Amino acid sequence: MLKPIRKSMETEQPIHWKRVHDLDDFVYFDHQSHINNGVGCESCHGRVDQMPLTRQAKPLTMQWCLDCHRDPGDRLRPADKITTMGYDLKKDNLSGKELIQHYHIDTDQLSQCYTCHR
Amino acid sequence: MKRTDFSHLRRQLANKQGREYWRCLEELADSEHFRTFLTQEFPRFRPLWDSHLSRRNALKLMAASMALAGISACGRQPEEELVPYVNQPEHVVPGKPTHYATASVIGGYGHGLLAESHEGRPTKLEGNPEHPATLGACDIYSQASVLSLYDPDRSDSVMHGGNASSYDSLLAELANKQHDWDKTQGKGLALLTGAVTSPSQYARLRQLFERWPRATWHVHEPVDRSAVYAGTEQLFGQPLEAVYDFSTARIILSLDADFMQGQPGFLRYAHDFSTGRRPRDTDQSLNRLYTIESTPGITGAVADHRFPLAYPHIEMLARRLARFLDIQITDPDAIVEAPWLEAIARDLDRHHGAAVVVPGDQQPAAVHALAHAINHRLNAFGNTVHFIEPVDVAHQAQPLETLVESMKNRQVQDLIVLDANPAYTAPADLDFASAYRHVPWQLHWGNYYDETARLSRWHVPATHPLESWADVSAHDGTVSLIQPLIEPLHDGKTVLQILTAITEGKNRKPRELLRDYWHDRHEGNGFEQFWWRSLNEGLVADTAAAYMTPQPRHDWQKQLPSARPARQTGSVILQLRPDPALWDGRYANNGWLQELPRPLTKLTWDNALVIAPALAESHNLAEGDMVRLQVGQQTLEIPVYILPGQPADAVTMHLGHGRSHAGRIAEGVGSNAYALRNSQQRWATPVSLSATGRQQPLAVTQQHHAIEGRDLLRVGTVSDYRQNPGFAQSHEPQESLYPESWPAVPESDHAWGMVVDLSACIGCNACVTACQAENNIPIVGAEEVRHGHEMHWIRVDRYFEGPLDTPRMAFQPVPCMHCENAPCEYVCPVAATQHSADGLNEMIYNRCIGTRYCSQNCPYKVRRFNWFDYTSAEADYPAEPAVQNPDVTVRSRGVMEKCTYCVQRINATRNKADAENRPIRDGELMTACQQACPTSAIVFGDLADQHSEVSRLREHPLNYAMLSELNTRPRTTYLAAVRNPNPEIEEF
Repeated sequence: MLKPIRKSMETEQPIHWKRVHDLDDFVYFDHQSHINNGVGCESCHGRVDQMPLTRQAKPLTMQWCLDCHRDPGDRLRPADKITTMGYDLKKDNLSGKELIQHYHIDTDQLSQCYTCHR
Repeated sequence: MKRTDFSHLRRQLANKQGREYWRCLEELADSEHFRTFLTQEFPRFRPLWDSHLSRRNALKLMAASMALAGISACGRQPEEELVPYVNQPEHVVPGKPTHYATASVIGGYGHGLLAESHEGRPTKLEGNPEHPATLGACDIYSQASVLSLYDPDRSDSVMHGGNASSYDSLLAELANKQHDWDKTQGKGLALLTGAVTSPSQYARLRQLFERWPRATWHVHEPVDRSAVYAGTEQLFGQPLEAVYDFSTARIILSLDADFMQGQPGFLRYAHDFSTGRRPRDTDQSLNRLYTIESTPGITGAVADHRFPLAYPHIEMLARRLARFLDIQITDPDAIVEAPWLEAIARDLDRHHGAAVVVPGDQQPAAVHALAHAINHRLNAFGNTVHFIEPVDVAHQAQPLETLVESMKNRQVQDLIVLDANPAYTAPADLDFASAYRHVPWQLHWGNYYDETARLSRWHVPATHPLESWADVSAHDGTVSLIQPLIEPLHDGKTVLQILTAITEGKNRKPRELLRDYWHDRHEGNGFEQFWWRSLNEGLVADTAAAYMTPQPRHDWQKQLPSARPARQTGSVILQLRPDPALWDGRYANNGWLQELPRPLTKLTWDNALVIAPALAESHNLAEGDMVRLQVGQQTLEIPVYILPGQPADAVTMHLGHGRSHAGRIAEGVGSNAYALRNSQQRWATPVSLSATGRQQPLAVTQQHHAIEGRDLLRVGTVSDYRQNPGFAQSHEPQESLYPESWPAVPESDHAWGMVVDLSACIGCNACVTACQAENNIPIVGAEEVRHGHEMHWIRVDRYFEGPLDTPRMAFQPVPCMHCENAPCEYVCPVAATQHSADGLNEMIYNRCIGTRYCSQNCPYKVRRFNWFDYTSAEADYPAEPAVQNPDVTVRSRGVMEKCTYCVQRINATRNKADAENRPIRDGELMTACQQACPTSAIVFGDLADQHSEVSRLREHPLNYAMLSELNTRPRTTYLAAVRNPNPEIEEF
């Protein structure tokens, strides 16, 4: 299954990946600020560990983005659990409010148009 | 167009009470034409369809748009591919730009830069804060050069006799040539270059002339500075370069010197000059600038006293000034009316050691000798002016005239032209092109297959500075290394490569060539460290030239040419000037520069003959009237532009227009002033002028967005300011039509705001170009500009005040005000413009449906509408995709846009601070306009931070808001300009 990757390394020819998660060009998304503020991979990409072929698991619509931007609390997780699949905040006895404070998230800022569009 | 009644205007101005500003003659005259222009909803709304539209057609179109709207709304995005690096380079994070130090070459002199690169693609240039010539600012030419890098019209192939050829065939031919030159010691070989400030290039040239000592070196720089060296030679006995220190100067006199826009070191000079005149930073007395100039320029516009004087009279004035200061020279026989001169002389005399006289580069040698003799008398040497060895080593080369002479006498067999375009830029009387054809073998090296290249046997494409390994010296001698940001796009060669090919017949790697030179030059160990440090810092440490202590020769007065006879009355002088955007024409194919409104005329695209109102009156001319100019046998037709402040007996034409082979953007734009140029009198020559009766509309932006009769610009004198520091304050309204609580409760940690200091603004347009590069602003073309459809997000308004013939001038940059009570937001039917918690007036392109209500309701007229498709490949002037900033949306047709306070930079800085878990530091976040500004006139920051610079300035007594009576509560405010006129001169 990894043959194309080995071949790419050998021949130094990059692989042309099919883009699965494609936002519109007028949407500006920054991985760094999501990861640094406690948004896990799973939240947007789904259970990649259970996908034989990667697919888009979440709608990635503006409504869906805003749902989280307006109320991120319960979707956050501690920094060491970002890549964990199947994480549950409640099992860790953590509350979203605490995490918002922990990450210093300015929730007013999150739903501004310019946060994603410019 | 109706003629302007000038006597009526003069009467009107005489009756004005107090200080009233006007922007253009038509506004002043309140002409009917101007009123109609303004009241068509607003100027930019022009009926797009002049043709009659029937009911049937209207229904058809409606049906079609409904159908099309349905189609375009469906479906997913087209499938995209991701192609990552196989071996990811170190330090490269996709999506995050990297910065490298490099330099640009402006008129031969180096400006240190930091280039922003997105995955190997340079998109934006900033000044290098460590570099003495820029101090972090960026001029319009450097800024726009990134667009030229991607210019599809650049030369992309070696050409031989008009056909594409290869570099290898040239090398083979050069091998034979070298044999011939060895035999003759280079007799018949000539080199023509522009200014040479590159040490490595000079070393290569010396090698060449050592091997072939009978070869000759000629220099042709169309905006030549030979008078600078000739003048210092007259005075000191050796050619020297003057470096000014305006930070210590209190009294400055400019003798036709545009030292803030047109002389080497201009960014640094503008910076130093403005630090001494910002009341916000200094409690001490402000410096004072007198400008005597032949054509209104920015150095005159910001002066405390400005006197228009035709070019030939400036030497007379310098002579009289010298005599006032007890310098023994013969009295000039032509007496210039200058009742104010004695007061200037007294003011200079009172400030020994802190006064300086700056002669203009284009003024004759005598003015330079006189100016520096006065500087010597004023004890300026070592204080406000320093002398160094000439930075431009080409001053020792022979002029173009001797080359043309030899070419005509068939003494030149082989001619190598390096980065010069004499077929276009040579004075017309030399008839360079026909002499050039007499030369059996010509080699041209340059960026474009231009006028000269087309006449040459061989043409080799040059690399752009962003593709080059090279070096260059700044005005003070500091050497910068130029490192490439990208591999040559068109297989161009650097200057070292072409010189090596000529002397060695080899194609060597450009990096090796530069490194070898510096390796040979480096003394001691640690070359690697030296090399990497110099590349990293963008300059070679300790290379600024040593100051010299020259003394005037005891008999220098004898070197002065006798004063020229008085001009016959009635004739008009034609003055030529470098264009404030195209320079000598080398930037003509750059759309950003073509469409840049020139500082004083606000003209874009075509050039015009600048004439004084008095001359327009006596010749019965109106703006856009075509006139025929005749100098000797040469004639030219050109529209006129009436500019208050122009000397009445002189007209001015700017160089750089009327190119025939420059590329798709430049061709057919403007008239070629070189066609009237005379090699004996390069900068001024008598001309006869006659009206043709025809007209040509000009693409002028000054009347667009005029907001008459309101107190937009506030200017006072130092004494006004001392008596009442808050003279610019106006009463804020206490009642509001707007629904918010008063004052508004801050919702966010930040409150972004901007203060523009009108004392510091010099109107140089650096902000406009920087904004264009940062925010992907398209160019629209002359036709669209004439309709008022220009797209610049920040405009620099120019104001006149006072008498028609000698008005005072002022500039006011106007970006979006980001009003807290933004009138635009209330009228948008689709909520495409919104207010953010931190105070930004947001513009959401993907929501905008183009009603333009927002623009209609904006009292500042800062919103721009995409009337047509200005960006795609089908546009008239397609935007080059590679140069676009990937962090900013490229707007499509039918969408409103405006200044965003560079929100992409705000977001990037906020994300960075967030990742590093720290607050945003004051000064860390700069808008593009602020960063490029050489005079720190624009200050941006967080108003919620009480210790930020912008909060401090907001509390300054000079702070005022434009149209504050409307209760829009703008976040962009102004510091009123403070001028420091001499009370002895009854003028202000």
